[in-house]
Amino acid sequence: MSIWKTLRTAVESLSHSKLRSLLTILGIVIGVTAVIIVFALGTGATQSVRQRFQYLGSNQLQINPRPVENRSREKPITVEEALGMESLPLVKGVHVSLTGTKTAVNGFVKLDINLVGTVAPTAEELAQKEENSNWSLAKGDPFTREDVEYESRVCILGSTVAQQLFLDEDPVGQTISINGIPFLVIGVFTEKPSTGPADPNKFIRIPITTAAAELFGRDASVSVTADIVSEDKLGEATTEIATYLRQRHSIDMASGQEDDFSISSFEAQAKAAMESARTFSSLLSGLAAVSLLVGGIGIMNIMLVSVSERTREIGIRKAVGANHGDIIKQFLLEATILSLAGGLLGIAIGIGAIPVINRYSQGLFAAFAWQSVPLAFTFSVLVGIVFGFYPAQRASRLNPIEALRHE
Amino acid sequence: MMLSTPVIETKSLSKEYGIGEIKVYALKEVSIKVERGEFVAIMGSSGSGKSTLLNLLGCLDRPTSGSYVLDGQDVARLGDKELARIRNRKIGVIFQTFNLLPRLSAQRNVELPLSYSRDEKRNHDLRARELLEMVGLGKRLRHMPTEMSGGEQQRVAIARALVNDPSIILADEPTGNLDSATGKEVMALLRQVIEEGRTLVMVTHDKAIGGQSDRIIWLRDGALSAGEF
Repeated sequence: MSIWKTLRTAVESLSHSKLRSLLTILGIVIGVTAVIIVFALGTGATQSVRQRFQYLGSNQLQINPRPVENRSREKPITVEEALGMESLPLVKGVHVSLTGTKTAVNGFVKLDINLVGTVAPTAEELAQKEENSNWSLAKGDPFTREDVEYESRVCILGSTVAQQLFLDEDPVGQTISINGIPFLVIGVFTEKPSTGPADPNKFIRIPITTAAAELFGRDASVSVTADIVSEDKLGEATTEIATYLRQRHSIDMASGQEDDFSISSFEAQAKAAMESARTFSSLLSGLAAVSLLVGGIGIMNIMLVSVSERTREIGIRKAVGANHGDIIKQFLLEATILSLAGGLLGIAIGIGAIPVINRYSQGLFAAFAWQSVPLAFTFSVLVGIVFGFYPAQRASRLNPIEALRHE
Repeated sequence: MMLSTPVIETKSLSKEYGIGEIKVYALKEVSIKVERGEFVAIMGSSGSGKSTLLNLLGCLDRPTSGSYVLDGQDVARLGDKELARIRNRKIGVIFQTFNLLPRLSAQRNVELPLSYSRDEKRNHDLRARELLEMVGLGKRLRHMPTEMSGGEQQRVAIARALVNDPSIILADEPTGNLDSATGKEVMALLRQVIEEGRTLVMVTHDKAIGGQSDRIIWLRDGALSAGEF
């Protein structure tokens, strides 16, 4: 029988029992959906780690305070220490900030704002294009390294703060008070586009030293991101920073004292993130495999039922000249069409699920991976062939006259 | 000049069913010859083995022992593929219960043997129409078996049996499920078929039908019986 006639016969007999066919392929649908999602999650994890790399750079070290067993020995990483790292030979610069909610007052207007203390912009930051800069100002000038060094009481307002405290007035050159301390307004930031429920323009930025001295306390603890001169010096720089902090915190390594800080490279963090994404993916892959197996057994089961239901049909076909091969072909094709239909449905559902995952699940990011489609396709065809073979062979082995006598 | 090579020749053909130690013979050492163009009826009471013999002649079943030479070919030695090819090309079978595929139209049922004959050059559609017209169902091509009367279904089955132009027609009680008037019509059709030089072997228990044949083979308890002449 030609392949087209066989195909037509298979489709006809499957469409005769639509509901049963649909239920049969459910396992395959779930399995293939899982395959698509596994790949999407894997790709998503890789992409988000890559994005982080791009944003943070691979020549940076992250320094965090770390709890130790003897709590009395725990010391914060202060702003002074963070800035002190800048003078280390292998450190090019540091990124450090102190943030908290404070109250800003101008005359009779009072406003709760997000106060951010940072270092002065670097030459590179000032040269950045407006849209991806943290330092793009609508009015006035940024504060300088000197302002940071001398703890100047200067501030730059986010656009919302400027508008609410000064209405149409020009804030630059005016004085406001933050938690009762007077600050000179030296600039206003350009408005940033909103990305969430919080207003990204309701903040005031001041030099970090001023923030520590006047508003957060000098022993406020900070996390530091340090730029290292080059990527291959990360190891040496880690030792350098550790030595500096141990000295400052009077930690005696020789007598077995623990560090109360941790230093990690983003490379290490990225590796860890990739590792956990991989673990998660392999877990889901297991689920996909089990589901495809169950789906395959489902197909085998229904094909066996179909063979015994259609024994007479097989007998008639053999009586008019069908041989083993013809019957095998027919049943194998039916099983393959079933699982292929399940596969296609699974691919569609899997692709449809990606935006839903991104919308409703926290911490998971899925990105469609095109290579999962041929894989899922192959899997479903393979399941059809493997699990359809036994029933097909059983059908073909029927003796024509016994098959014809079957009622 | 008549060359007397029989189209069907069996020697000691037996079929037995074993249930443990006990063996039951459905057919016991039956040796028959059927000449080309002959119309032979196989008769006997029920359980006499007539259907078993016909199934063996139609290559639908395999004998336990004995030989069967069909058209000069020793069938007992053939494998599945060759047997399927013989069923497809050389033999047309007609059953008492018609045995049409219920989900296929009359035309598709008639086309069925063609689709297994690997002869793609032939126009299946045209050939099936031709035969359905011949059996008087030219206007019912698209009807499903369930929409047809028994007589019409049997005529579709005859068209199907003839579609590959076989030299032998085997019929197992073809009128058994039909009323006498319809049965006569079907018999008339079969007589017309053998006038084209085909061989017809028919199982029947109806003496009137047996009387229309050239020769009757009598069976009793699976063996040839003295009734043969």
